[in-house]
Amino acid sequence: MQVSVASRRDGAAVVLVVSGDIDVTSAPALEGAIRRAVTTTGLELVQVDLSEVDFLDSSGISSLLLGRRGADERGVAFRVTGAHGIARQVLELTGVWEHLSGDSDASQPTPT
Amino acid sequence: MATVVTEAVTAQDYEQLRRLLAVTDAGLAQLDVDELLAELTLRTRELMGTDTAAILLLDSSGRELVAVAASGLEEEVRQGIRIPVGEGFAGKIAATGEPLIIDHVDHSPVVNQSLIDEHLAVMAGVPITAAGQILGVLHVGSRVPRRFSVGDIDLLRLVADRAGMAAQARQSRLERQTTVALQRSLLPARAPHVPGFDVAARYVPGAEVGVGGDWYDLFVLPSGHIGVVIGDVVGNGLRAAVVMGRIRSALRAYALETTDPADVLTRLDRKIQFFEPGAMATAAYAVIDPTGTTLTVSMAGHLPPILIEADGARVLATPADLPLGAYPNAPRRTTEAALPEGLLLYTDGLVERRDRPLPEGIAELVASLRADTADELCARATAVLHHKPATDDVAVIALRRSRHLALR
Repeated sequence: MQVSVASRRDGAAVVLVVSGDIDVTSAPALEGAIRRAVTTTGLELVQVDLSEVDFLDSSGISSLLLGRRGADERGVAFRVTGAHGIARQVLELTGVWEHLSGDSDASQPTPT
Repeated sequence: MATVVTEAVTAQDYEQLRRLLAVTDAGLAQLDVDELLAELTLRTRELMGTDTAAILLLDSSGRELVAVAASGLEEEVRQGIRIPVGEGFAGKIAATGEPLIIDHVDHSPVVNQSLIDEHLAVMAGVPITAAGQILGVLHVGSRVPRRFSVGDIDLLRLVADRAGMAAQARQSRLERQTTVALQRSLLPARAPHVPGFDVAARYVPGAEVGVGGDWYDLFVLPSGHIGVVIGDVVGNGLRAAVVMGRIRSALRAYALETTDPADVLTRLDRKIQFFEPGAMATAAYAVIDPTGTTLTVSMAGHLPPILIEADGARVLATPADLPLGAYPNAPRRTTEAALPEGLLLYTDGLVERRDRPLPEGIAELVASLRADTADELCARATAVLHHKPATDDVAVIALRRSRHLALR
């Protein structure tokens, strides 16, 4: 399955628009795109837009969680948005949605 | 001059390539990997008219080359000569990933003594690669001075490609065997005896990932509590299986210290964050009290447990906390519930389908679960896979209260 990641820079923020299915074969591509964004100098926010993602499995979840962890280590805010359908259900059922969609400060989870 | 040499060899090379392709294609099908590598060195030596040809492969550490096949240098293979990457002729090729030609072996600082002992005058070698990774080195040597042409190097590269495919097959076969052996040792086919309960488990390797990081475990604690766990380490293959083994052992150790599942997972999470940085796993850990009536459970990014009732099954509504290794000091919760007839834990591969919402997959699983024995529960659970082969690996563990069987 293929996934494509389009990157849009807006000042100190970058939005990664992901489209396609995120599974064991495509998750490494997403992980790499997030890592590149997070390590870009001068960025303050990395937003991962999943509104064009139809499927996401546990390898996709781990890519997003690793992204959040990497962002925190560099003091970059990280936010996942637009998850719907199967992707949203998986993220909610496994208890990671709040963590990924909320504020990057773990101690202050943003109510949704 | 150089141009003339190149052209003169090209026509001849075409014949060589044709012969070599024929030999190796047939060989790939019929010979085992070691025989094939030996055959390749023999043919290379004949085709190029050199005195020696040798194939060295990187060992599992990736830091040393080991001579695995040779023609004209057989002693090197018998002695299992090891050459550190970066040292010697072969070591330098493995370090740089570039072809190398030496015109005066006796004067070169990059040649190890054994090659000088062979009275080699000139040498040429190329890296053996597969999927962009350096796996080893193929080199040839001649006792009489000669020039290696561009065509010679191309020929070596071609042989190296063939050797690379074979070496990779050997490596992945070894890794697969090791992974399966490790999995088997960690996931006993026969579930342990638990007083008052009938227990069964299943593991199904995935179509795409093969053996992955799914695991299950079940144990009776000194207090009489029963611990049941299922989990999924991110990744697959040997690395995931090794991490899984460590997580499984650590969870057992923490289970001896406290019977609160959230507490056990918190300690396990801390251990993973510190000792396995980069590793991530989901897990469901349940503890059944010594009377067998109450269940406490904590979920780390895992799909909800299923309770087995006398006339069916239902999902136990449990809030899931973050996966293990996902985030430092993630808060964890324990949910308590009355334990009806039994419990079934599973990994996501069982219910996840591209063409169907996840809750539908879980609902289908729940609807299929009515059974008298734990083994039947596992059989029915894995039967939902028959609609489509699972790409991910799948683990299931079930406990069912022992029934009072009529005396016969």
